Amino acid sequence: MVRFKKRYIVLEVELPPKCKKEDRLLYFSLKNKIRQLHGEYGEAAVEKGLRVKYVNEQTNIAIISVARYAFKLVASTLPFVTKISLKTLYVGASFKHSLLFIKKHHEKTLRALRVSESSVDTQKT
Amino acid sequence: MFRAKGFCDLNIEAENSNLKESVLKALSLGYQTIAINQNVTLPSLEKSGSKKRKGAEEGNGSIVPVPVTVNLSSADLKRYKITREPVILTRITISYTDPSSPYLLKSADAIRQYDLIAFVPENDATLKQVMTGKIDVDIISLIPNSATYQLSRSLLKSSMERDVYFEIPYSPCITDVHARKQIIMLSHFLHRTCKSSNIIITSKAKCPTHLRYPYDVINICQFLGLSEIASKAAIGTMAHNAVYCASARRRGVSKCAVQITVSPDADECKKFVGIESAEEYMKSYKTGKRKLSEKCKAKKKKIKVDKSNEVDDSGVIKF
Amino acid sequence: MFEPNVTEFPAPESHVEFSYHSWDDPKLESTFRQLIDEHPFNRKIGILLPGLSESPKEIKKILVDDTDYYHISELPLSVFCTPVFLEAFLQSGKVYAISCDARLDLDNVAALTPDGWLILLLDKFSYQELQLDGKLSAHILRRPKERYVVKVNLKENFIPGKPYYKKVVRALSYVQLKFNFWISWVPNDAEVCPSSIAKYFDDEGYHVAVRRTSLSSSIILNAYVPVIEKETSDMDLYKAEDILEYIGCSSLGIKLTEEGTSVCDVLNPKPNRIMKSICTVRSVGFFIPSQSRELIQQIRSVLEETDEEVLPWAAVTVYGHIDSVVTWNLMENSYSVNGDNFYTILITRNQVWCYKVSGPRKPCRFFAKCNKRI
Repeated sequence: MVRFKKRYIVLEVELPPKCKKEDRLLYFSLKNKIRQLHGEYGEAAVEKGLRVKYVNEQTNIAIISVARYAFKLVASTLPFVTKISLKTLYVGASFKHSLLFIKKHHEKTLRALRVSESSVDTQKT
Repeated sequence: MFRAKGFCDLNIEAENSNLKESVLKALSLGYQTIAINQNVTLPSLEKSGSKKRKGAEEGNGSIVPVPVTVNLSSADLKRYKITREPVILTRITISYTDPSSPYLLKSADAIRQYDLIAFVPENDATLKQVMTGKIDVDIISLIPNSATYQLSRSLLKSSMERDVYFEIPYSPCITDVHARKQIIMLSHFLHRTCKSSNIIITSKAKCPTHLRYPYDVINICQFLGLSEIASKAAIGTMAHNAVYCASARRRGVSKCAVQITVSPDADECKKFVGIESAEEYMKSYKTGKRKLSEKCKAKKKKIKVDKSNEVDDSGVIKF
Repeated sequence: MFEPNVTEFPAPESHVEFSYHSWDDPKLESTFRQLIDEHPFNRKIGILLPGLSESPKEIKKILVDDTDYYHISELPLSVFCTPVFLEAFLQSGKVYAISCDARLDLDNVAALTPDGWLILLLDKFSYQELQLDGKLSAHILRRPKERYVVKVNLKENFIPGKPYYKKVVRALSYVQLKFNFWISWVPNDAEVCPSSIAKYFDDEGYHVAVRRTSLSSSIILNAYVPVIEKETSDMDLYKAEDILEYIGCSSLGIKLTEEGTSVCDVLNPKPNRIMKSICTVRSVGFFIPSQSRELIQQIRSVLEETDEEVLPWAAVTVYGHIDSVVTWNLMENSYSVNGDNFYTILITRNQVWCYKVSGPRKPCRFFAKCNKRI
């Protein structure tokens, strides 16, 4: 059996405040935009494989999966989504790799935070 | 034995707003082979009570209707400027849910009247029955909602090896938004799993306005994940193959009789009349052949003997 | 996993080849041979004469005189193999025969080229009955193996009585392949009348009809005509393409403007000047390569006789038969959405521009790995 190949897009999301069911909000806003831009054909082509895999409101990071052949259709609509502001961080071929990327990303941001904090501390002393 | 010619449209609904006109329109658009389709839904046993079952058994023949034919006069053909000779086939589409349905066996003869037999499996069990060749199928038309069943690659491959064709109708695509989406998804699915091989494109038209020009259908197929050549094959050569395989299935295993005629100027002893004496002749011929082969063997033996002599001689010389 | 192509919808493939020569270029002859002589079956000729209000008589004469061809209905192919036909027509001249009223992409088609090749494109069942060797057609899918090309050379090693001859004749007479043919014949001996082929088939009992080439002409008044410079040192290929577009539009009677309109976005190529009239001549028939050669020579002499201000240049477009089996040099023609094969020759007083437009050439193999079974 051959694998159904997917692409995993890691996004930085800015969710509206006091938001519930973030994954559904993300999914439907994306799908509505695809219908607007690529029409029914694009919607049908994307349907198989488009899932919101992971949303974290604390860290503002989400992962969506797309079928490989329809990647361009989804990637071209991402900048047009207005309800949630999105920023593509990484496109990976497996879920594991995108999680690894998130880990590295967090480490990087933490280190930057620490550096800034320590600089603040040194200024205080 | 009939053969499909030209462009094919293997599904024009018999429950049509105007059947004759839609057939004529299809022919004038450039199609040459047309199948008129009748839909039958087999009642499932579990739902219907025992009383109903009896009633159904009584009206055995009524489940499968008589094939509908359209008589086209030469004046009609002239009016629509049709020059090529049309091939009009009959087709039945059976949708059923129960794999152990008795109606399949009972009405087998009635079903065999049709030139093409199509099945609509409505759940996983019937799908498996249709795909693995438990019953005679020519065309499988899947329900465009892919959530209905789990199609696996091995099932699709086994059905492809038996030259069963999958049908994608395009007229629901034109009229209905929801159906359009489902059909695109289905065809993409078929492309992913079996490279879109063994696919035929049909119209499933219920009125003459739903028919499209064959070269426009090729353009529609771009949406369905088929390349230009593949979509042309889907309304041309693939459909020809489907019709050919169907007619071969109807005819069954080919058997032939041999007629042996001996030219009058041959020898007296070789003249035979009828198949019995011909069999005798064949027997005598075979025995004659055997004798010949024996003679050949004898000759070979002789040669061998000669060779052994030589070896002996050479051995003598060596010694 | 075989993924459907969701984002790319390629247009039908088409090739344009372009070359230009001066009249005394030694390569011109080989270009003409490749372009004109190797393209045997021509259906239509269009001539564009900017500046003239009426087409010259000499050109009309070439198109109408001695261009009759014959339509023979329901001709079995075994007729081409009879010893009489081989000796009287095939060996002593050039036979141009092509099946008409048959679609290249669906029906069986046949052609007999002047080199003596009998080329058939058959479906699976006819091919299996025929018992002759053939190749899979290049323009079908791998599966089902549905269309085959069979080539038989009737000129070389095809002697009555020999085993190969017997095999071919038996195969062609066993399967009753019948086609409607357009036929024209050019004898080697100039004294023999070309119509004797029609008489031969008439005597054999086939229905023969004489077809005349039709001629029509139209005029566009006060239109822009692109100026073609005498110098060919720096040729702009975009300009060459624009001019091909211009020739196509004008021969259809479209008047191009300086600025694009909402209806037509094709612009007039620059530099240009206004002329009183453009004359287009269209002729439908069955033309053989020598006729188009003669026509080009005639147009050249017309150009030389008239003043440059009156007639700056002329263009000849020769359209091949859409449903012909072969195009240039016995290459297989394909008909996916269209079966374009035509060439355009633009003639000025000192140079020749040659355009060659052909359909897709790539073999279409969709199921590359499924070669196992038929």
